Amino acid sequence: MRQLLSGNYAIAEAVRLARVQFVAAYPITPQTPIYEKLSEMENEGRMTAMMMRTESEHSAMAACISASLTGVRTFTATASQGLALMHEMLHFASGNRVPIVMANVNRVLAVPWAFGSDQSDSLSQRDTGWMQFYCEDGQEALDTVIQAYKIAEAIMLPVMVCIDGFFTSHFIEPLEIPDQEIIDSFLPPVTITNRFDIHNPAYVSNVVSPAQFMAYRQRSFEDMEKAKDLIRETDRIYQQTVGRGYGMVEPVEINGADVVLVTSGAMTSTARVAIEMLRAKGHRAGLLKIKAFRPFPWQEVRDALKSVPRVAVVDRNISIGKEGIFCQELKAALYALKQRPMIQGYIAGLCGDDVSPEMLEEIALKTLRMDEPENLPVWVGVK
Amino acid sequence: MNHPDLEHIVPVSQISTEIFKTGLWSPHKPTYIEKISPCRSACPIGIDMARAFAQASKGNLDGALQIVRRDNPLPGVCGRVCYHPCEWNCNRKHFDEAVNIRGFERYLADHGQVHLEEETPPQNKKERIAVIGSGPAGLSAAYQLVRLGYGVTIFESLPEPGGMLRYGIPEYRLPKKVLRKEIGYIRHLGVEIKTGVGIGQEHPFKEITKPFQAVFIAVGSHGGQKLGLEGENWSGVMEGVQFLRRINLGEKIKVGRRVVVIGGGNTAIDCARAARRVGGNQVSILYRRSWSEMPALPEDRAVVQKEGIQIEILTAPKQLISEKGRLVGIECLRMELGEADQQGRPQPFPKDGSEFTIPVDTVIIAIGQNSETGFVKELGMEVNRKGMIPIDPESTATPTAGVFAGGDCAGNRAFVADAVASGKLGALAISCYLQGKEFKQEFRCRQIGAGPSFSFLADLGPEGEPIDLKKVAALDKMNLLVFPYRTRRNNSFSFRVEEGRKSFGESTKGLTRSEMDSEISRCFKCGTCTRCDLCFLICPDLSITKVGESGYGLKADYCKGCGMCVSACPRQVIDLEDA
Repeated sequence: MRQLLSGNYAIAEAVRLARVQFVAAYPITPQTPIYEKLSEMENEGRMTAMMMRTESEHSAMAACISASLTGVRTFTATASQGLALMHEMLHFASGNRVPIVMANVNRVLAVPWAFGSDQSDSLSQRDTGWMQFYCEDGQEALDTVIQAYKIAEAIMLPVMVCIDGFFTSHFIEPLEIPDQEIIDSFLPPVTITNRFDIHNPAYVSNVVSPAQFMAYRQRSFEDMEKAKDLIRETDRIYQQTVGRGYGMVEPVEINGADVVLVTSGAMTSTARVAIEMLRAKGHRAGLLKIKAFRPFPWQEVRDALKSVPRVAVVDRNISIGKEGIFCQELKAALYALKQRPMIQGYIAGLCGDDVSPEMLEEIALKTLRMDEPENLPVWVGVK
Repeated sequence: MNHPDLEHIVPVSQISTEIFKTGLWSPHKPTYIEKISPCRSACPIGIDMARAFAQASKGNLDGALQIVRRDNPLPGVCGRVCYHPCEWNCNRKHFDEAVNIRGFERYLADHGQVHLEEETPPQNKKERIAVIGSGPAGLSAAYQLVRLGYGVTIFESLPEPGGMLRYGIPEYRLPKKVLRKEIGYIRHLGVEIKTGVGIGQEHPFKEITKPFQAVFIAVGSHGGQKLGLEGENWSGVMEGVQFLRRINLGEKIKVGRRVVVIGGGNTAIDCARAARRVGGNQVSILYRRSWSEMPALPEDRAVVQKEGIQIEILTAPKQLISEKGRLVGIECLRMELGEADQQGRPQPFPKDGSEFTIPVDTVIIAIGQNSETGFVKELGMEVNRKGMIPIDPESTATPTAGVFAGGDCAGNRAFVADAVASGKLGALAISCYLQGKEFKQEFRCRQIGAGPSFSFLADLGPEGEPIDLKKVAALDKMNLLVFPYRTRRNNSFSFRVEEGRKSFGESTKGLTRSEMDSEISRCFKCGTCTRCDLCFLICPDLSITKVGESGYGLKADYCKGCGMCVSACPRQVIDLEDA
């Protein structure tokens, strides 16, 4: 069924279609409409999940962890400060191997206080052991949330699905909402174990020896690596069943390109326009969208960029003291190549600052003109 | 894809985490140490009011009264007439208003039951002690000594015991039945009181005290000081203490309509109010200094003025005026204050040409008292011009071994509480003397805070003192967030003012049950654990345990020494200490 929907509502529809059984959240802009929509669905009887309003995001995550330990399919949504407040519990979720799916609507972190889209909130949680997927638009968000349950429950690790605050969360686009039967066939009812057995009580989050600890961490690491095959396979089945797929990365016009823009999230749609403009002017420009950030698709990235001479990574985030975080990750992934492209990082669109097709075009052209990359990222759009 | 085998990817435990003794890594541990409340440290008698309030808050008025009676045998008296330094120091004063502590003491005395069978001490010491004078100092000394196991006999020159409490303070402020009840308890505990035995020519000191191993002299100050003006012996001129004594003996005294009382202390106030009740309808008090130097309490001044009594400050008598051998007026001077004297009080001096005359029927002089202590000359002791017996104020000891003195006749402040305190101190001093113990050392280990008072508790029971006598609970260490604001309940007047000034009936009422309950809940119980459970509930490591009904324990193996319990405690009962 085709509908005009915001990205937030698209996620709510996905949660409904996934037959989620437990939702705990606390309101925060720009995420709040997700929880509100779910509440409305629950009230109207369109969704049967238990809704739990908590007093903070930390508690929301703690509640989701506990619920998931009882074997139910669990969802929460947050943004920015809410995600930051959850931080401690994010480690508890991944360490306890609970397959929670969380939508994070990317919003800048204070201070100064602001609201616009910025990936610094979720990228600050890079090392919490969660999978992270960055979606380009509402449709992809809907499809990714559904896929995320299949992935999370198979590998027993939590998944964070990120969309851009306002650009994706609030912009209304025509979306295709799959039929419930089709999603039911793709995503069967949850079968994860109920780990609360009152007849055989045990304690989770317990203390272990250093050797045990290292073994558990190594196992999590290996499972996250294994998840890549699962992500690819899940996407393939989804494509067969529903008709849409995304891949962990998406190369556009890469073959023979002189310069490739690397983007993530909503900015990718703009980049698609920019490379068309560039190509219309005779520049051989390509695009690489990175969707999966954890696990990091280093093989896909290498395959896509091994023959490209120049790469411009545009980050809507900044790691102060280093550079854009996607740029860092990309450089590290390509380091093992014998022939590496020249990589220049750009910082653009922090806090939802507009990144126009012209700006991306200029970024590509500037990169083409470079003989050597600069040591530091280039800040774009700062007056 | 199959789910990974949970057993291998996430740990669970079926044994207790108690094997991790994380508390052993912390160098700090909370310790429960009950402390002194500021009201107690301010009380000359050292009454443990916070603990009495805590008992009362559990509904145990008798237990509360028993706590008060450890230090003070006269709670019904002090609950009415004390100048209540406790309330000036009440921590609650900095929060909303001080608790009505004096009203509480009166309530306990009026409504609590004294269980004499529980209080009766064993008379296990062979020494006997004579107490001369049955005022607050003598009664207090006798009471504490008998509780310590000594035999005590009080010699009183007047027909009834009580001293100034009986013959000085008028009925409307301290009903005789209240005093008689409390003296009755003291007798019941084993103190012998012999009245009508005046020490001096009839009964020489040495003869009377011969069978006793120690003596405590507390004869008070019953002689009035003179103005030094001509005419002080005229009819119509009275001396304050004598006037009050005659009132208290039930004599019918004629004062006429116009009465002037000279003086600024309690005696002056009592005289003026009594004069108002025996026919004076133009009564005024002359005081030569200003309000801030006036020894009478502000609340008493307010009552006086309500009863239509004028207070003329910065006014002094110049001469008494007579007509045909009868007092008719008093010529006065307006005064100004000059430099402070050695005691820090500014000296008044007359304003030139400020003379004015007040027509009077009676003048009552209440400017201070002398003690009638001539009998100590038998011991070779010199007294000063006011009759004060020389003592070491720290120990009440006179220069004669085995003879101690307290109360007004030994130069103590002329308040009831200070007299009771000096009797209590005398009891400790006499006990130390008889047992050959060093007084100062014995006092120090019983001393409350750094103040003048001390606790006898360690001498009276096997448990000893359950609190740290040296630490006073400080407001800034108490968690005040748990206390709601609430208005103080005062003792109300028994009569409308117009009626009150005609009556010798008690002028203020006791608190009602609900007023008392409100004050009991207002009291912070500083330094006293009330088992409020806040520490128990707030401990993030569940390391505080409840021990029976009486207190809390600490699981030191798990306490990380965070100090949350210390900060949360509303009453500063918990300290964080190095483990």
